[in-house]
Amino acid sequence: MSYFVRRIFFSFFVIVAVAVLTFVIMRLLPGDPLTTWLGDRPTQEQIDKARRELGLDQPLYVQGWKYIGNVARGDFGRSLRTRRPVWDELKEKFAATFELTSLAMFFCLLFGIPVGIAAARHPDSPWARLEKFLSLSGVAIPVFWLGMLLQILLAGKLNWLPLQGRGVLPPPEHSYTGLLLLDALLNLEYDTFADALQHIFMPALALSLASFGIITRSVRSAMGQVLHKEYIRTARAFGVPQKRILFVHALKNALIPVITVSGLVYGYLLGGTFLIERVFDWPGLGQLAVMSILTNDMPVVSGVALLYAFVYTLINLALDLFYLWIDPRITKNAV
Amino acid sequence: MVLNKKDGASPMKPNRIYLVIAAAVLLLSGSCKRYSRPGDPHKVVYAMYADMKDWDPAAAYSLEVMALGNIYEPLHWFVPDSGGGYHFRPALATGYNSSSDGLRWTFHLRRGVTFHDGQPFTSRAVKKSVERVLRLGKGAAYIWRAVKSIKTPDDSTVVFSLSYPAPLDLIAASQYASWIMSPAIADCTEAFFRKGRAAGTGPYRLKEWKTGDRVELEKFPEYWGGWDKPHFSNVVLKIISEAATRVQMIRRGDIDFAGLIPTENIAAMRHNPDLSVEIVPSWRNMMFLLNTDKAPTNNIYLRRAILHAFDYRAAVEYILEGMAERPVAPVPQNMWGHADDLTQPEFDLNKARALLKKSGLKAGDIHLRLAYVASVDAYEKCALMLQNNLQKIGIQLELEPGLWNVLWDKAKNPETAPHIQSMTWWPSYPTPGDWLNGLFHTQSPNLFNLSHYHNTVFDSLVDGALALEALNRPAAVQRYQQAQRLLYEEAVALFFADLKVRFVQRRSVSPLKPNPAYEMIYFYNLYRKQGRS
Repeated sequence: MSYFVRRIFFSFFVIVAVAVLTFVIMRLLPGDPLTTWLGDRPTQEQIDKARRELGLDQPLYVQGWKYIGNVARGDFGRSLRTRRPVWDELKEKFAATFELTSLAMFFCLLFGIPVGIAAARHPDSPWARLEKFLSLSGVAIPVFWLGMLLQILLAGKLNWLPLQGRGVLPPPEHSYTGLLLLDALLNLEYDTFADALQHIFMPALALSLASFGIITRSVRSAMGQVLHKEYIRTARAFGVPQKRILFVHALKNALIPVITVSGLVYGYLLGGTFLIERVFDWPGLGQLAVMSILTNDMPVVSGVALLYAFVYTLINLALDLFYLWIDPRITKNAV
Repeated sequence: MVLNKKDGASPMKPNRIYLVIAAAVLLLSGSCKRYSRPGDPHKVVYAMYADMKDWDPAAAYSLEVMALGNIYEPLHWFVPDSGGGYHFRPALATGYNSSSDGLRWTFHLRRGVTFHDGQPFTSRAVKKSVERVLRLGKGAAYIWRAVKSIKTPDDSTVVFSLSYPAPLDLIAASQYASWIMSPAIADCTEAFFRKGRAAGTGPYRLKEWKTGDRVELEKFPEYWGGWDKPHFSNVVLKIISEAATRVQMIRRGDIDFAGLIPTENIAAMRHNPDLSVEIVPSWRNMMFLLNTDKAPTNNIYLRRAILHAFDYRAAVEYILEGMAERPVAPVPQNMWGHADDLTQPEFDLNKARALLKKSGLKAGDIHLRLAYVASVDAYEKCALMLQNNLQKIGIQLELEPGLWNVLWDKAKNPETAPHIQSMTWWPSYPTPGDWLNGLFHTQSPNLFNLSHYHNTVFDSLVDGALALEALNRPAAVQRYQQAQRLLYEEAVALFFADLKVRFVQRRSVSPLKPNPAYEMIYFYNLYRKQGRS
């Protein structure tokens, strides 16, 4: 329990630190954010009025204190670019990004774990060569370029998949989760589900390919070590079936480092959305963040940074708790 | 390896892997419908590079005009003529007149017009629309600031009384802050509009706004102009921020129009039989403002030397690749009031050297800073060209790329201002005075006079011309032209491009009828050609 409480405390500390840091960094950057609020050609009267309205005429520490207080109450301010509440912007975009990164993560694990196991079992097999090729390619090829290549191939040449966006059909009648795929299934709207799947497939694939290698490499490495352990040899000697040895005895023990890496990979995927969402015009947080950075939309940049930090922290917290289930010895060591 | 041999499992053969991959690809391709879209005769799709910022027609001051200009209408449209003149095409007003002192403007309104929300169009709507603009004071509201009171003697007459003479006919035709909205929404809060609400009298009404994705407009059946031609019933403004994606989509036929297409893609598009590249005139022009207040560019001979060190032909032909015309005067050539008798400096390094000598400054000791907006490729290339040329005559030019809001902040402040600042300008309403007053008139505090130019003769010429716009437009033109001559004589700025706008469009859609006064496409005038997709 104390481990759990301590992890939550540290997570909270990380989020507060991110809030303070992003606020300070955004305020220290040169350039007047009022240009974004007022447009290209404001009058002096408009500038003075807006400065008062937005509280930008107050000392930095007062602005900072107000910002932290407002965030604690769930008020992230208003976007300078769209003039809508930041929380509304984040809510709308978060579901799209969460859906995209989760599917990309799913692809990483779905293909990464079997390929990693196969590569560990048969180091000279085609699987191992495929694993090496994909790992190196994934790391070496910039994600936005990969996205464009897929667009040219799957949309431009083969005309199999839509080029951009999240869907062309109207959203499901009832929105339960904000996740288009899930909502479409819950509403039994199969056309919408198919449409959403076709739209999400390419950006999720591009995003996952960049991180695929990290998962396969860690699975291969961990499985390679575990498969040489005495207890595996013993299990084989006792005639335990190969599938059971691999997926029950070996994989469970090899999963600990893989889970740690998965948390990091999720962070990479979130970072990757900044580029992939731009390329595929995916209406998510990455696209929002890029636009906001380019236009000095401070409240939104701070809001996105906070939300990313929150999600990343939450996922790592969940993974830490997952360790406990996999290996209860961790609690003792942590204490 | 020993373990592998013992467990008896054999590695999967490559052929089996390829079979699995092939099966997966086939499964995927079988499940996906073909995505090429035949040209819908009733629907037109335009790619916008960014989403709507503001739905409030009283405050919107940016790319929103693409949607608002199809939903709302002004009192009349400004239409430039080929000879540099102009006329007004009636919209919600069928005619107007003004008093001889320019202080009273009467507009006669069209009858039988209905707003999208069912409200009838009357003089009350005009009054409430302009009053909202003045009350909010946002965007281009300042263009209406001469208005003292608005009277509505009857439903089809509106009378504006002004506190000083102002050209209300031009102001009423602006693409900003001059849209007439339903009186039912004119008192609504800004939050109401932020949700994507609109009620105008235009041919299309707002059907749906999906933030970050698209704006959908649908035909307004009761539009006063009628629907007797093969007009489009639906207009989709698809938000596609990535230029490469816009290129792919217009090639595939997913969209009918795309703007801001990278120059490197244009040649291929010209050879595509399904696409046409349309180049239309605009009122935007590009320049480098020379700081007249800061040493050493406060030396007029140095400024003149800089003007002669710039290769204008290379800028227009090679950097902007025909997407601009070489300027003749500070005001673009297709705007009334433009001075067409000016002689622009020629690119001549010998002349530049002679002027540098005349300046008394020592070549080799001159270090200048040029700040430009980094996201505009043309600025960078022009700045590099100027840097190279200036180096040949012994002037060191340091380039400072950056974001506009950062550069603007520095450029306003005399201490931090660069010697040369990039600028693109366009008018808020159709007047040459917007360039001369907005960019070069003495300002306190300084906003856009980033040349830091102070000349009382110039100021009085522009002030006089602005007042004469309402009373005697030919006399105003004379003053504007004198003011432009003064700017050239004093070498206040290096004007290098009168810009054009480039659209790529599917040939299946009828040709555009461009109007530089409005940065929009009026979709009501377009139709899908029969038998083409």
